Amino acid sequence: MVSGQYAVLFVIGFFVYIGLMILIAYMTSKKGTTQGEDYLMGGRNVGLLLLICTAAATAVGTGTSVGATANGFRDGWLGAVYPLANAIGLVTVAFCFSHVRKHKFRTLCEELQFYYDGSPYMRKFMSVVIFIVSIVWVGSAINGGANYLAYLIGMDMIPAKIITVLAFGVYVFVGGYMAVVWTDAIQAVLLFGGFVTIAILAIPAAGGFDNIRAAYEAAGNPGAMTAFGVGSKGVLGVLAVALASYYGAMAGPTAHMRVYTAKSPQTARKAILIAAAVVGCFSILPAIVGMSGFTIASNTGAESVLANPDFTFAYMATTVFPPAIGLVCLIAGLSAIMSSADSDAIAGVTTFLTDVYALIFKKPVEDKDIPKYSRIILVIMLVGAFGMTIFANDIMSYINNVIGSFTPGMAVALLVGRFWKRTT
Amino acid sequence: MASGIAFGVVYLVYQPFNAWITEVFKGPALPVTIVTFIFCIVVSLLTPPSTHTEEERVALVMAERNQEKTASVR
Repeated sequence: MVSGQYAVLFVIGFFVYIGLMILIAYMTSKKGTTQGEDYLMGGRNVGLLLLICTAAATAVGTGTSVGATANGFRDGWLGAVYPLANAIGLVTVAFCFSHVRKHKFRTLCEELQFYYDGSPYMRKFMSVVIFIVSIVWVGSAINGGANYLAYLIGMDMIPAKIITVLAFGVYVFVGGYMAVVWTDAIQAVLLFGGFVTIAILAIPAAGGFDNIRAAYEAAGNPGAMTAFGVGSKGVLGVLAVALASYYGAMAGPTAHMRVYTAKSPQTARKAILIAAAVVGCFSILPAIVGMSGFTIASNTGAESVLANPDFTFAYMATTVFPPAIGLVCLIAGLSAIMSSADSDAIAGVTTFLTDVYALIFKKPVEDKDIPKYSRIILVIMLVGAFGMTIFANDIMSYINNVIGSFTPGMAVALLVGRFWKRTT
Repeated sequence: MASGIAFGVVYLVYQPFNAWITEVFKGPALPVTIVTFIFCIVVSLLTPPSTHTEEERVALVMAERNQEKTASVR
């Protein structure tokens, strides 16, 4: 936990940042992209630069930033595997799935129905699965953001969760998909800038690479310094981390939504490829931050971080760097969490209104009603995700594990459906 | 897809299986990939092949979105 002036500085910076996001959402809503289907699809006219930023910022979420830094802390260069595999997932989306932009799909369920001979059963089954997955992912983001706030300023978990929900919920409510895209653009600049800054400063703070190597050798884990931490986790261990991340990026609804909302198939492919390159370059940063954090924490006996490496990033920002730089880093961490949470939320709402609603009520939502219904579903979804984190955290954790176990199945079905015409 | 979900549930519920998968494969990602792939191929070969053209499949997707009757697609 940080204290005194630093905590005040952080709280002020945080609220200014949230205010800026809401202002952007409000300005977006005035541009006419919150009418009818446009509320969810941004007019299907998102340009190259915005698409690069939103795809890259969404890819760098809690797992790719805080989780990868913790992996770097525990197993050195393994920290680079999760974001790198995520980048490869984006490359797959760009090359294998961007062509479907021409069909004007709205959801991954529709895309899957298309690959599986137009089967409505596939779509109905997937709509329920993807909607539940979206709620759980939003809940995980709420937990991630709240843990972060609780660690930093010692706030109780319930108010921290409320603040986290409101932090991204308000601007998604106001501006819909285009608010997500524009705020992602700002968040992308902040999160990549923050991570580059922290990584550049981290190595000297740890005393250089020789010190880092010595720290892992002293801890009996010299394999952490091998390529991708293979010497520490083994080939299968690295492959397991890589596949989990790859499938999440490739078969998750958010990257596909970027395709459906792009100006054209060519724009989608180019933007997602560039975003993949950015995320690929980014991949070494969490590893560097994690390894430096391990070295500093080992040398100073920082028990809280050694016991829970998930706090490595916040620890580095609050104890290693001067307040001004630390503040930028903290906002970068929050940006990573929020840029993914907002995309999961809007993907969940789109899936509900396009697929689940029809499944329940046997009729489509009228185009003019989409913004109103979207906002209602968004609120229900956020309240549901919030309630899950309060009353059913164990269940959520369980479902999260189930999702982790069957996402590869969903990804394989998607790939086979895409490339094998005989599939049913 | 169902085989992948079933695998995931068994992996989480049945501890000895969980321990074996974790020890051998270091996590469920690789075995779920293999199991789903095999099921996908086998089930596809055992069921009648796809009959719709690309345009027809798109029409089916849009009909489903608009909750229209789909008999007229073909």
